Amino acid sequence: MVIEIVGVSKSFGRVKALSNVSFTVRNGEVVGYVGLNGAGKTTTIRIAVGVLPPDSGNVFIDGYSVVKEKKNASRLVGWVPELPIFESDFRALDYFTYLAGYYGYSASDARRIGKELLEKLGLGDALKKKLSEYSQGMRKRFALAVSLIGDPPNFVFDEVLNGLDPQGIAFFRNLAIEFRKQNKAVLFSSHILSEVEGIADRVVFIHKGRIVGDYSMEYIRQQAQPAIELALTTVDGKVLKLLEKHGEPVVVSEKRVLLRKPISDSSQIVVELVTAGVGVLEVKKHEKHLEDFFFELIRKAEGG
Amino acid sequence: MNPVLYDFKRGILRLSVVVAITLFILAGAGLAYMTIQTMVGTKVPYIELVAMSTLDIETGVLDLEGIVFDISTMKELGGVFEYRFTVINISGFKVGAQPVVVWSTRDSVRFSGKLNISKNLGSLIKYNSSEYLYSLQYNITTYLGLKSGEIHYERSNVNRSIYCSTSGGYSFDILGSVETSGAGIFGKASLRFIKFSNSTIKVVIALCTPSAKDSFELYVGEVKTARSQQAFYITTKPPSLDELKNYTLVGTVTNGVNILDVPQNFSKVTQIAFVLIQPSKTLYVQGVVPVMQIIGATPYVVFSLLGQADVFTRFFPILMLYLAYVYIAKPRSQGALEFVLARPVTRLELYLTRLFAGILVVVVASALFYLVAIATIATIMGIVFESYTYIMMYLGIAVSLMAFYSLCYALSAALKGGRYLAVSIFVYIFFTVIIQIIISIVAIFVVKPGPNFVENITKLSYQMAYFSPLGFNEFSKYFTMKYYETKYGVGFTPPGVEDIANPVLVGVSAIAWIVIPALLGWLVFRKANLSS
Repeated sequence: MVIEIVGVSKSFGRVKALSNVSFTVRNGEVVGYVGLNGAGKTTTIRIAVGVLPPDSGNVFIDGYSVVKEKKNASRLVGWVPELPIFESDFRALDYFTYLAGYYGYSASDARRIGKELLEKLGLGDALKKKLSEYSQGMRKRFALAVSLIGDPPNFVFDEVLNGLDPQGIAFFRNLAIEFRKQNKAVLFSSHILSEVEGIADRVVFIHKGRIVGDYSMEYIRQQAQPAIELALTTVDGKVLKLLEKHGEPVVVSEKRVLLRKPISDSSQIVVELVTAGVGVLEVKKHEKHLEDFFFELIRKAEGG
Repeated sequence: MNPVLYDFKRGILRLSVVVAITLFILAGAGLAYMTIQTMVGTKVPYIELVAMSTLDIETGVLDLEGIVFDISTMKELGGVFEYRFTVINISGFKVGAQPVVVWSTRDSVRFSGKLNISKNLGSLIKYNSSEYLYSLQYNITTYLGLKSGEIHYERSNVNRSIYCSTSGGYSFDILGSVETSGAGIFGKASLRFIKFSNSTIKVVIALCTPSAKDSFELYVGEVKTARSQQAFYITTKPPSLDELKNYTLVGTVTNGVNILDVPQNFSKVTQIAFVLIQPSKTLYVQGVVPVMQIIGATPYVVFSLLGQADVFTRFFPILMLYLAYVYIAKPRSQGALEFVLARPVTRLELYLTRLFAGILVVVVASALFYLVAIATIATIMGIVFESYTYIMMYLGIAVSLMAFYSLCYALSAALKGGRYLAVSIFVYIFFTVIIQIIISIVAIFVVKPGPNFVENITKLSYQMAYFSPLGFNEFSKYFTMKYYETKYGVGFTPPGVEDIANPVLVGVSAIAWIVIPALLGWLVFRKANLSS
């Protein structure tokens, strides 16, 4: 009941996707796996569930190597990907039956289990629907149903909250907590630290294919700093230079900047930005901003 | 459910595959009908007519009775029988003819009919006339081919002046007549002894007797010493008792056309003696006939079927191309294989599962194709092929398609969606069309035209067949034709190919075409990134 990732490296052509990645997810533990888009989270997870061979290193699921004992390892781990892709011109229950065949279930048993699980996950009305007609949320529930075959003691959720409605988000968060209660090991990846805040016991941070931190959630909360999050009409070098006078600016997205350790009042910053001709669309003040901890790690990893 | 069987079921039950399988079945039926159509229009010597016809010149009534049958199986055939009564003068000019009469039957039954001779012609039919010849011209169209012929009437020396005739062909006519008191005149008989299988002989005998009530007992026996075929004679002298000891009573023969089974093993006998004895023991017909090993329609139907099958088998690889797309290329390009691979299955198992599932589809589709064709032919023509033919025809198509599927499967492991389709379609065109163009170019520039030009091109084609996944089908056709050539002496295989078509090499080549692409595909697939 443990997922051990040991010295895993992987390259795609000349691009080094993972470099000597190692960490462990223990029993009854939900581990958040956080990194920016393209950091290597999904690659790590694909290797962990045995669908992508590593260049070096290994992953052990309850002691079984996904490289050498893949069948045993796969039987012990469930996987819900961010965007589950199926051979979508099949009906849900038929495809479930097919996949259950790999677990050794007879067609009749597989159909019975399929009906039970799909109904339990709210897909009872869509058993005979083609998978191509499933919404993203339904696809994730279907993937979860398939992952529950054999009730594996380990689970991996890859950016599973992306694209879900609030009800879907709550469902998967509660599921992770439920699995922890059942003493399962759960790896829960996200590119937003706050997304795993309520559920993770520990967070492993990855940046550009390397593990840059492995901290308990409690420690992260303690280390969190205040910050001001700004949505602007323009984010360029001139704007960042202006903001540097008031703290440590970090570009979050194209038009969004996080100002860490602010030394000025937010109203003063807004006035200066507007005076400089930059439109301010939104201002959010965080007393303790979790992402700040993450960005600090990134800054250190890049030698800042 | 076992994933291989499920993939197979899934592969079969896809709408597009169901359509394709249906096409295989329809192609099988189409193949059968094309074969039958070819046979119907072909004038070939493997159907026979045995007919008995009498013409009563006093009443002008022509009686006709006969059967048409496949001479190898003695199976009676149905069809269309067209006949015309003709009168020709001694100079050879046709002086009159009845209109053509058409009589048809769908089942394999005997035909019989009466024709009232018109007054004009009737006036030409005169007792004891030597000025005119009378004949019945006929055309028989059956599923096994077309038979045309003419039977000539010979006058019996009876007071009603009955003119008797039997068909020609392979039959042995007993000519002459003997007048016996109380029994009338025995007019004419036609006998056929045909070796039907290793242990069975069938006899077809047509008798023309003065009265329809006349009957004879037929006895047959082995000929100990070679006797002349001309030893047919009608006599009032009974055969010796010693001679009759070795004879077996076969059955009763009556006026008209008779078929009898000879329940004796004559497998090593080349000649059979027979005696026909009238119950009144006043008239005997004796003679010796050879046992004939006659080749029936089967080889010709096989050759026709093999030739016609090309029309369909050239298109079947497209289904294989599509199957590999459905099983690997498409889900791979979508990224759907990863979710399957996350189950307790290794990459090798996933690769092999879908490879074997496709091969199972090939096995079933090919079987359906030939089963439908063969069943249709058996139902309509009554032709049942030898097991060797079935096996070779089936292997030819199944092995070729497996090899092509293996090649497409390897390509699908290496290339995604659109690229796979482009390359595999090119490969299909290459092995069905471009390779023929290459052979032609090589023939023109390397083989050079000369006396053995055609032979050399043929040899080159067979050599190239080793380098094509679809080549096994060519060799299987060759081996089938060779089998019939060797066993029955019919058909011909291209000269010079025997050395090229080495069965061991052909087998090795077929296995290599199946195994090597699949193996190369695996080398790519084992490390491939299956994400979209």
